Amino acid sequence: MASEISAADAATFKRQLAETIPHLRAFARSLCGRPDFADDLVQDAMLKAWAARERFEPGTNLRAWTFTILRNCYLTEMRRNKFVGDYDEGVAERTLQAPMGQEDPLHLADMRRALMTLPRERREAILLVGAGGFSYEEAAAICQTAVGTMKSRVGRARAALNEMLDGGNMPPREGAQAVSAHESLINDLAIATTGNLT
Amino acid sequence: MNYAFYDKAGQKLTKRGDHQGPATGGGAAGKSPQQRDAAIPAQPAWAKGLQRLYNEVVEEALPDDLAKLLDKLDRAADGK
Repeated sequence: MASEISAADAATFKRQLAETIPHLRAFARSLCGRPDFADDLVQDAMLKAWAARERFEPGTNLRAWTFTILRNCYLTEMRRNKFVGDYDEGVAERTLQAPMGQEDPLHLADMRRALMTLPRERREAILLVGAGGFSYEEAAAICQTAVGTMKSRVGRARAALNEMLDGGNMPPREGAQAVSAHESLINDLAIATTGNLT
Repeated sequence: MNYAFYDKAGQKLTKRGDHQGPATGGGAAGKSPQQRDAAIPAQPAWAKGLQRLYNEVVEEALPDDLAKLLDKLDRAADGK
């Protein structure tokens, strides 16, 4: 490991780090489900990557290296319970609908919802291989697991997404549950006050 | 953008459970292109959606705090 990097290497590192930011944001957002926390994670990961820049080996995959750092930041926050149960479907759908134009926003909202129902290990696996374009070997290195385990996680994620999105077995929306609960309450009140069902 | 899985050699993977590498003797390798195309199942619809979900964030404009972060890091390094 180099103890000091040249100004030219530092400039190259900085340029490449800047190029990874959009990818880090995409990975982080689908990983934690919250755009605001995702950008916090990216900022945290960038600061850590910059602080550790002398440990990066030029010529190796900087995107994979920074994804590893971001994932570690995410796991640290998970341990602090920052993201547990924090997926906000309303925020996610508003975020999705804004840039969609004439495309169908509900499809992507369903996609995100299905993704967020996956266990974290499978979610990150399908994101890295299916969206991030990493090989199984790279994804396994990022997640610090065996290649065979990564393949298994991707396979299970694909099966679950097939079941939910192509098989039509999506879990109910939180909003729909809230409406049902509201309707149920109104119904109970109607019975209590009038003795009639609405 | 079409979505597909590729193995480490860049070989397009065409069906589930095909991730160990390209087919060899007795598989798709011995068939005509037409036969191979007929044997390729369509990618699930969600696969394209997953790619779009990711790419739309990639293509978003960066928030100011992230865009300016690297400049701040530079200044911090200069101030050492």
